[in-house]
Amino acid sequence: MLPLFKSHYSIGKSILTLDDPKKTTEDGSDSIFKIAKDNSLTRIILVEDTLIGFFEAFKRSKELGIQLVFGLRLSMRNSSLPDDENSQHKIIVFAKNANGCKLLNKIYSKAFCDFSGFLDYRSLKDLWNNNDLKLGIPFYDSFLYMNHFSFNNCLPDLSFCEPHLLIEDNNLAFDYILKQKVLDFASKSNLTIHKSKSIYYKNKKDSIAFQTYKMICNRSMGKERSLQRPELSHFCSDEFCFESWKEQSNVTI
Amino acid sequence: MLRFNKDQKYICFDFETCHLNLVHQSNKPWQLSYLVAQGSDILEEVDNYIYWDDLNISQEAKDITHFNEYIYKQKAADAAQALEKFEKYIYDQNYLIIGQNLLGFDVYIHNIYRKLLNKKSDFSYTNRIIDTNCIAKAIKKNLKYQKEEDFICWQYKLNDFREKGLKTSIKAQLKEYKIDFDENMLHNSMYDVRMNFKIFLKQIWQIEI
Repeated sequence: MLPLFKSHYSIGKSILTLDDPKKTTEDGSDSIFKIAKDNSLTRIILVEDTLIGFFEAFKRSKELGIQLVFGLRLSMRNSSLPDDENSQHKIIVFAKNANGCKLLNKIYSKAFCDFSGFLDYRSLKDLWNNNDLKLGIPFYDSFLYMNHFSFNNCLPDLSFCEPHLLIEDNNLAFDYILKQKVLDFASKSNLTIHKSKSIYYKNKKDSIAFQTYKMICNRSMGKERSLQRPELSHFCSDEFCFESWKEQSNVTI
Repeated sequence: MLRFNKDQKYICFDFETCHLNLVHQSNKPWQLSYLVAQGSDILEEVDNYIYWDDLNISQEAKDITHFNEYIYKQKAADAAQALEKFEKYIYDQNYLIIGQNLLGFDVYIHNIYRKLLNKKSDFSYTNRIIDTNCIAKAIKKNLKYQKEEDFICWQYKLNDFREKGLKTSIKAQLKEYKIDFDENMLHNSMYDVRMNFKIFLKQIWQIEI
């Protein structure tokens, strides 16, 4: 099962840091690299929503002799036309090598400079190189999720690459329904599936700290939030953590 | 269609809880009420006050639900037994499961309930849920269910659909359907369940499911 770490550089999405393991303290925040060292991981898969933490992750992984696989989680739309605003969904672009990292930078710049934080498939296709990049379809917020669980209408053009589908089991009520949708799509399209786990905090008990952090980062106005009234829909799982990955790695999904 | 199916079995349920956090195990369900029906005939009503050693209800929840400690202490019974009887119905494939905001709240409270009793999560019943909150949104927005789509997925779409001014609470629906109700009794789960089932029986004449 692939552990997909995310750091606090993806603002509001994780409470894990990229700090040097030697500098972490018992009651401080948890570092992805400390977790990796403590558990003898030789590889870290980091899926971020921005490239801000890339250099730190790259430098730290070099220092510690840990292989870094970097993926950029990106918003996609059918086209840049205003009519296609409701086609937004997520993909993950993984860099396979140094050239892939450079391409990630170009893709990221295109999304945030030429568009307003998203890309259309035509633009992605123009920058794509199968030797340097790999495309992942995340379990949540992908076109499959959006088409089945929201009123979005996503029509991705994946003809230029061989996407890899990710499935997860985090004890959300709809996980088993979504999993079946992903399996059906993979079977029809003859695509590869990987079991995976998004990791936003270290242990299950840290879900409350993560929930608090999400409430702080929530910029929407309106009702007052507290741990007794978090106003975070579907925040009902404590499984997005390394502890859960360790447990599930020993069992079949 | 359900409106013509007089043999269809239903369980309509609701939880009252300590607060609104969906992951924290301090959010214990302290009242679980349900009715069992066939067609429009109510066959059984069950009102459980669930006993926990360390119940800590927020003041807001106490106010909203009119929590009465004296009644709770008198009526609270074994948590495991109440769950066992309830789950015989919800995991029975013959039953459709009715409730207000089940997909966004009660299924997760049921999950907390299971965890408190050291049981594993099991959401396998959720594809038989009919969430009256979702159906109300569909009726108001004139959205029709297409048979080629998964009914549960269609409801999830509606569950996350928000629009300012769109009122789909039990109270709003009772008023709209001109069903007599006592406002002071709302948020008592047994009363809510009775009212909710009346709403559901109205809804199935307004939407083709």
